[in-house]
Amino acid sequence: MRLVRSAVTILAATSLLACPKKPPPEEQPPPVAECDGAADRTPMRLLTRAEFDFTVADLLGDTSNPSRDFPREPIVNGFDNDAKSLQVTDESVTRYLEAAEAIAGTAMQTQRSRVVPCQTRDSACADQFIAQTGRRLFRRALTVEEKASFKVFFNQVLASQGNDFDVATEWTLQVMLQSPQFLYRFEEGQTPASKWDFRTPLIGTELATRLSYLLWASTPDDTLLDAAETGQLDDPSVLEAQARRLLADQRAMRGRMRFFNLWLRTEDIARLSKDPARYPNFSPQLAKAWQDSLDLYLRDIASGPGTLKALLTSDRVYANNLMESYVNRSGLGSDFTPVSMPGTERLGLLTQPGLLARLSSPDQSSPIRRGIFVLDKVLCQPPPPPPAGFNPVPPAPNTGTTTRERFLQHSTDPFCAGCHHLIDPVGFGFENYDAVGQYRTSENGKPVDASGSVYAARDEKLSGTFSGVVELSKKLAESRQVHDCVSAEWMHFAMGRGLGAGDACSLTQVQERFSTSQGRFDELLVAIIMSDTFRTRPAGEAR
Amino acid sequence: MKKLLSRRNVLRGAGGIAIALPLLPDAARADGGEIPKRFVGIYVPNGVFTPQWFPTAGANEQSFTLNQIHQPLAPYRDKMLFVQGIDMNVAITGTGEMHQRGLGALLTGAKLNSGTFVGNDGSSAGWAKGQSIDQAIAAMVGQTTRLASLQLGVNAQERDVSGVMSYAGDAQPLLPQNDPRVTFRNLFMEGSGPVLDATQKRRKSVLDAVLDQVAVVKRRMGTIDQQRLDGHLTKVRELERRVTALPPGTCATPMAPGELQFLSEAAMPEVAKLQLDLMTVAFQCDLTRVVTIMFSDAKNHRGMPFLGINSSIHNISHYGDADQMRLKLAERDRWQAQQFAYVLESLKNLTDSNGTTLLDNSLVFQGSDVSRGNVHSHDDMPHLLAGGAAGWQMGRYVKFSGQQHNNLLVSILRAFGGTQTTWGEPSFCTGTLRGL
Repeated sequence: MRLVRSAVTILAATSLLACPKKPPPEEQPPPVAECDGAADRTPMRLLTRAEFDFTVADLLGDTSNPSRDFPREPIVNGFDNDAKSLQVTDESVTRYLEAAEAIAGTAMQTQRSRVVPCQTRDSACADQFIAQTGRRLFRRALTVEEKASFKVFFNQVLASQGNDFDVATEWTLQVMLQSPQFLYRFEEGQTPASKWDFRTPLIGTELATRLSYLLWASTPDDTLLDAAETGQLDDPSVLEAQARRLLADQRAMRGRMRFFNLWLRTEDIARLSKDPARYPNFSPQLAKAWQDSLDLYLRDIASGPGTLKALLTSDRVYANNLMESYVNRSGLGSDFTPVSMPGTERLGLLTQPGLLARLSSPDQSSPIRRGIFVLDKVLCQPPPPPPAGFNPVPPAPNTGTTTRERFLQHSTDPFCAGCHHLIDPVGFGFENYDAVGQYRTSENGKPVDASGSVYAARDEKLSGTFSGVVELSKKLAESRQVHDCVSAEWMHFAMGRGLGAGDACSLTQVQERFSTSQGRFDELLVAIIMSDTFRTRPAGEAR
Repeated sequence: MKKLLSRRNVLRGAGGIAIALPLLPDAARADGGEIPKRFVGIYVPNGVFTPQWFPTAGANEQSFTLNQIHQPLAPYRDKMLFVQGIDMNVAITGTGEMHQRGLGALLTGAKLNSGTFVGNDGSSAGWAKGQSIDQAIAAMVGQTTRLASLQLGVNAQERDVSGVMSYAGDAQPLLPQNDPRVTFRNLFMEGSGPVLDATQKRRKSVLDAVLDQVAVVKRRMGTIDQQRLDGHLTKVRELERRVTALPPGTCATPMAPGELQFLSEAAMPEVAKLQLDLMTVAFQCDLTRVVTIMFSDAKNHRGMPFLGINSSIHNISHYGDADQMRLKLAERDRWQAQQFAYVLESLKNLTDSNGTTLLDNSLVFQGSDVSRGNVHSHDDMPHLLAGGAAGWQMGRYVKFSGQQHNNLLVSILRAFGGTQTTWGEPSFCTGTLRGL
């Protein structure tokens, strides 16, 4: 992805024009750099644990978090939905079996009317159950063959289980919940118009599925499926209207939060631990409070202003009684309250206590982790890796020096300085915050120097010195490079794969729209959905 | 003797209580009378404190003296084989950083794919390029057991190349299971009667129908997805075999472990105990013959508060040998030696049908991703071997010189009946080790 990111950037810089529309006529050589350029053949996508749970909750009202013991997804580029890496194992099929049994059992007991759309217990009602519940679970109408195979099974169970309609329904539901049509998102695509086409539009239901899993982390609702099955999503204006309808729904918070949480890797925060000798106030409850506080902050941004600028420069910090010292308040209860901070101590995402604590060591702050985070996740300009065979020995925390002094070797030793002149000066700007994210103006009796600098950012306006994270955040919030980076990250997440040269044209359009919209996240999502990369898949795969 | 495991044994471990059993008759029967071999692979992150780790050599290979760290292993001295001079050269260069490459190659002997997993130093890599030996061994010895192999973790949280030691094949990681409760469910989910009970019959029927659906959908898909669906089909077939398998006659289902905060640092000793006890039960009941277990992962930015270590072990591993901070790594190593001793004790307390112990019929292999964390070297890897399955003379300290790590891997495979002449990246394997 690192290489790809720079490739994309180079391409993006040279092709800001609207992309050519249609592939060339028959018998001409294929195009090489259009929006329909070749892309990785992503395998069918397995539902992630979060997607599985939201889907089951939406379809069957089961909010018991049935995937909680499923194997963890591999994390690729920070995301849990990498199509290539997500594969079933002995363990996952075992968990699917258990989950299907539990879900089907609960559904028949408590949600029977959702599962069985008729009152009779006859063959016609079984057909209706198979067609309706099958369509919802498989996110498309069942084929004749599928309907027939489920009916054969249903009847077999009926015969072997004393003609008990509900038992046959429950077992059939178990089969559906373990069928690949439910567990994977299959994409066949429409038949390509020309054999030279690199890409072909998705079938309506396939596009509806991409749409709802991006925005809701869940399955399409009946309205969206209806529109898809009648071919309406082929019309861009209908597609956009559906996208906006989904964004206006409460469920859209799931999609936004899933991206934020993975991008910022927030799930680690509640499990952080800190050296009790140095941080006697630390407790697992505090770590949990950091994570909750950050979660509330992100929801606040997503449901309120909804812009990247607000994310980076909101003056709010959510605090409760465990976090009073972070907001200079007292008398807070155990519930979280938003506190507006004067813009000197804290401003925006980068000063949220949970994030600062995560980007630290257990016993001291980490200019390295903080610097790399900004370069990699905010600027999409990660520093080069150190040469092979080097030996990173972080200085021991001690009582006589500041962190900045301890990390001085990086700039004095030419071997380290090659890369660390890119990393450390960014991280030093965070020195007003210790390893538990607490604001400080002195360390070990010496004043903190929180001046920092950014070298050689692609956005020239970012390069140069700054004083503290507050000033840095204000600069980042205005930067096109930061907006482009978030566009690329979110698009990567949307596709479940790294972006390649074939996506460059689409990405450029998405980045342009995000920037033009003043960094509105929902406009970014609409732009991703309307892009060729999102609406098509590689053509010509042998069937 | 139906109930072989009391609640106490499973929940708190055997802990010195000998579970002396009459044997595992089923295990031998399933293999036509041969006593099966078992393999345990253990991963310990970030190298070791070498000054106190390797034994002190004596006049000959047998007369070595255990170093401080390995005092907990004194009772098993004669069952162990220390090797020095094994170099993991395959991990010195290539995609990724030293920890990623070392863990990736530990059982695969392979290099890493390129990819986006960001290493400890900011460089990036993908999954390892080949199968790991535990999976090759499982293909040889694990085909009649309920699970061909088990991958366990004790706080092995990383979900990328830094958190995986077992690979089914190129870029096919098998992430370890950290939750003992789920490990239990992977081992015991069948009915317990002598014939298929109603649950088993239903599951068979449902899974047959799932297999039909896989076949239906497969016909419509392209080749990439067809391959994946074939993999899915195999997994469901194996699941069907597991859920319909009759339980081994001598083995009753023990009590399940309770819920615990299995990802907390403080819970590591408890989780380790539970996971190792479940491993023991799995061997005892012949539910599997191959287990790998990871203690944390290659990133390992975690403390071990139960040892009084409250800063990142990974960072501690970087300090110079003379630095007081690095002595904490020796404490970690000693704790790992205790875990290793517990594995050996558990295996020794189980008896196969010919009266030999499971320790006699197992090979336990422990390794790390680097040898010394403070120089990130891959020479003189701190490998530990124990048990009698390989047929090697144990109770020795063998000093090799410049031998390839992959040579050890291929030697282990051959000891389990493999016919491989090379393993992993071919240019880093010159054949079996002589003198084992």
